[in-house]
Amino acid sequence: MTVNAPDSNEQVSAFVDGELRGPARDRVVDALYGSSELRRAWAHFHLIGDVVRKIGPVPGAGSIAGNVNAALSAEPVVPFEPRPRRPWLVPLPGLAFAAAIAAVAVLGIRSLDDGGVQPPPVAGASRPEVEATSSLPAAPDPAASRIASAAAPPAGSEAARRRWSDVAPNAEARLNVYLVNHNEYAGNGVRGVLPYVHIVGYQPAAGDYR
Amino acid sequence: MPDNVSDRELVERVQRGERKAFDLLMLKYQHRIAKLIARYVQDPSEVLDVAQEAFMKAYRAIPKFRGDSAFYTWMYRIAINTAKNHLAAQARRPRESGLDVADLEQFDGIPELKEYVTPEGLALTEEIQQTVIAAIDALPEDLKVAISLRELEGLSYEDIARVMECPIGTVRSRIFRAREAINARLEPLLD
Repeated sequence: MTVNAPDSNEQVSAFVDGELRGPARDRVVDALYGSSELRRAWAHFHLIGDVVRKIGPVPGAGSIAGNVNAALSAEPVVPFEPRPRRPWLVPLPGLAFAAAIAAVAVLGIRSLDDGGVQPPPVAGASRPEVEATSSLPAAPDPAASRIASAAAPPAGSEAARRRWSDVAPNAEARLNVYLVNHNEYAGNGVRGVLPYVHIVGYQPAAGDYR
Repeated sequence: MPDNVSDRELVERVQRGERKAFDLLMLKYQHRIAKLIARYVQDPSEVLDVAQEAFMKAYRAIPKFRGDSAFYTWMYRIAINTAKNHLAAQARRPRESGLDVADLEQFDGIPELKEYVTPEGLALTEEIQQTVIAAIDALPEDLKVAISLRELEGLSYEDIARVMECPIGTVRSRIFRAREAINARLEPLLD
């Protein structure tokens, strides 16, 4: 250490009080590493504080550091370990992101479905095939239509070929009128301008009414 | 407390693998930790053993010390736990003391009952205390006020400078000169 001893001792005194900042602090710690005299001053300055505050001294306690050092010298140097993250927190950002995407997807699909942006199901159209055993058309509720769609047999199957237009053409005609009228007057559920825009999907079937 | 800044610096250095920084922490706290353990453990030689064990445990655990509390708070808990474990292990052996761990817990608030005393230890302790007090009394007034405000009141240099109406550099110099003067009287006792 190139600094003279009195100055170093004053630096040590300031470090004892936590009053050194930045490079000066680093320098004094490095000086303490290299000088047993400075370490002795460091220990005594703390002991003076302990005595003034009546928390010292303890006979023999001055040898503790030396004994521990001797015992630790046989041990490997403690490697730096980065602060461990709480394991249950690790997947949270990914989960939160996935949940947000799922919520947006669900809400988006719901609003699209409920809002009638898609053309409402019309009896006789290509999508809402109904089992021939259904004697009456389902209620013109989009939700019911969705259920019907979901329950619809795959295209090309025997059930799919049995359409309203084949099975009950009169009922289909009545239902078409009802759906058209309903969609003209009912809001479509989408917020903003869309509630006032009525979207009607209609595909005339064979033997359509006029 | 501003000296927590020094502790943090030293802890970070230990965590970077600088064992000498841990030596500085031990030199700083060895009397306080021994005093704390002496409230639980009666035998003076065992006090030193338990204190050493506590510091060893702290050294091994310091990579996991996250700095959520002050280093001394963390060290305090390790020391208390080590002392209790020592007493529990002692209780499993044939009893030399009439107290068990639960009894000793109650003595925590009454340190006088647990203070271990040997004639030599008591004599040296008293001599050190008297020497320090006499050295402070002999200090010039400005040094005495500065060291008292720092050690007894725990004021920062900035606050002491405000109280004493002098620059911070002067406070630092006064505190250092006070310590040097006290240490000059103390050195012969600690050799």
